[in-house]
Amino acid sequence: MRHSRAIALIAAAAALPSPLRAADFQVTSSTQILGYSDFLSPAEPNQGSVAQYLRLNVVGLDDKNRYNIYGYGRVVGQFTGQILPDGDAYGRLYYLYLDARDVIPDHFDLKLGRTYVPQSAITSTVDGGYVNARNLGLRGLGLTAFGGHKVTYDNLAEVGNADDLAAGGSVYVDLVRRTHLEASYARKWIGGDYAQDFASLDVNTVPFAFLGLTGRAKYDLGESRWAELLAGVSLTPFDPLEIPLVIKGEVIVERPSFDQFSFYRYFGVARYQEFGGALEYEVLEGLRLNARYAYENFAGANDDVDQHANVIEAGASFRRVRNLVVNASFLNRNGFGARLSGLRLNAAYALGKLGLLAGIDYDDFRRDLARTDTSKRYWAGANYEINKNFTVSVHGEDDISYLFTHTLQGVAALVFHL
Amino acid sequence: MSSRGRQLWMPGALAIALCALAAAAIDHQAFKETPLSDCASCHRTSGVTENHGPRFGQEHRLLAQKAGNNCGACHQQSYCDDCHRGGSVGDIQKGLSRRGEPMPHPSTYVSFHAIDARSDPRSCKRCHESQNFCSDCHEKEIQQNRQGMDIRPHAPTFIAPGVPDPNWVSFHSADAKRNLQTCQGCHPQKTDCSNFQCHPGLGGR
Repeated sequence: MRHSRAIALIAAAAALPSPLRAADFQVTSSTQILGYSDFLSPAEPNQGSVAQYLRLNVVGLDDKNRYNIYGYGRVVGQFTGQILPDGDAYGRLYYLYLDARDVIPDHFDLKLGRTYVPQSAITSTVDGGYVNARNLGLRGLGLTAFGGHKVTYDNLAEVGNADDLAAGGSVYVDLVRRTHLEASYARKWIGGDYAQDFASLDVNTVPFAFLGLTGRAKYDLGESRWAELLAGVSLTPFDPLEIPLVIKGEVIVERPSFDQFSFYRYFGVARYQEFGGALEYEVLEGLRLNARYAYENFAGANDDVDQHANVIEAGASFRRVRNLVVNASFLNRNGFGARLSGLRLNAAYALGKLGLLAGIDYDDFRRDLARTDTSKRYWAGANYEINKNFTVSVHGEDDISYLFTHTLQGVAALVFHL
Repeated sequence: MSSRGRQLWMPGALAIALCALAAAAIDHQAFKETPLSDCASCHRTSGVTENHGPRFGQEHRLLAQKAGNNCGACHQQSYCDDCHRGGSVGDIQKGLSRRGEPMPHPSTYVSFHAIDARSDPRSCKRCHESQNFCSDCHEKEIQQNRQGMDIRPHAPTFIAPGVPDPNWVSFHSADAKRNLQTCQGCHPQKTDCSNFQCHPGLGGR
């Protein structure tokens, strides 16, 4: 079934743009050998796989570059270990679609095939279509619509039913300068049965040069309650003084609802609230600092239990030395259910055709219902451009956690660009 | 990294010049090769704050979900899939899951993933859509009698034979009202309820 669907997609994409000319083929292939550890296979934790990724862009199908085809997929097979059945290879088609821009000039865009549709009401990968009708009578007034088979990925392959569907659309207005207003609606069916539908109203605007505002109100029609309310502000008050400081604030309330098959039906989460503030500051060219505080509030099944956590984050990015980038970040979360302190440190250095990378992840945590422990990850990698078409990349790491004293994992890849 | 590393030090004047040429342009195709560090030089005078800050990974969804967004001017769709859907054509320097899947989390994330899952309940679902993603590990661990792996125990408790604990009744009632579809994920038939003494009047299948 899945094979026939893929063939149909390819055939549809190939058949549509009839005025074929000498199109440009852009190919990226990555052949990877992976070694990793499976803590759920204690008898044989060391596993090995080979993965083949292929990204293909066929651009310029017509002389105005309005019609392009984009595809991306992979095949994975395991040569040692127990996760995949012997001899089986698993494929995943991420996308394969015809992208038609300005089918009606300045008015109509179309995507046809398997594509990712990021929309406020429901975001989904669909085997179907997406249209964007722009400047409908008024410049800045538009409509979008999408629909098709809903694609669900699970681990290495696709899951779901042939009659899992998603469809929706939106009306948007860009009539006021630097202001976008969009109302969207989408519905999802699982196994042919209604699963969820949402309506969302989104706005973002920059009324003044120093002020940006964002808002979202998303309503869950199936549950008859608000699913998400969000208000955000971004300030750059000192720009006239050439002080590069960005101040951000955000308030969000979420009430997750989960359909019959979704991930979170296991969790007893009734309401989540977050009040956050952040600062970003460029101390001098090539040195940026950032910090964030968030107050998280949770409600369980009874919806009236006050449980909270405080989150503090800080980070720095250093680019003062030519070809060297160093990033560091720290997170501390303390409160409901757990305490977590995490440190991330990574660096990249380019030396001609050779790129070197390395990093450390360190996490110290206490989970009230489980354990108090630390986990550490030390990693290093390198890329080397053999020529303009071929690059080799390697990545290795040592993981230390309660699962393994030391675990060596790694990937080696040969990347081909055309 | 090598090519990206060289891009980092392209002269900022180039970005400024392109900005001036583009004036109020929305299409960022011309800036595709411009390093992020040079964006500020244009945006600080354009009246639109640059948005690819250090937390853009957490913040980008609102922009990405706008109709007519211009993400595609610089990014192919694979750029999304390499984080959201376990792709790896662009970068192999990521963590690996126990199945060898590339992921944006550190490889040791399994140790403390439950903390993040609690912190922002919807964030996991943006990438992990299927319930099998949880049960694939958790059910194996439950079979091995590891404590704390049954995410949310909810079997009835009784204070006397045939008399359910009022606290459990309250919890069960609120949960069912909150999201009956959640219950139906494991208990799809009406008889799952009516066969018990509690709801004899439900009838049906």
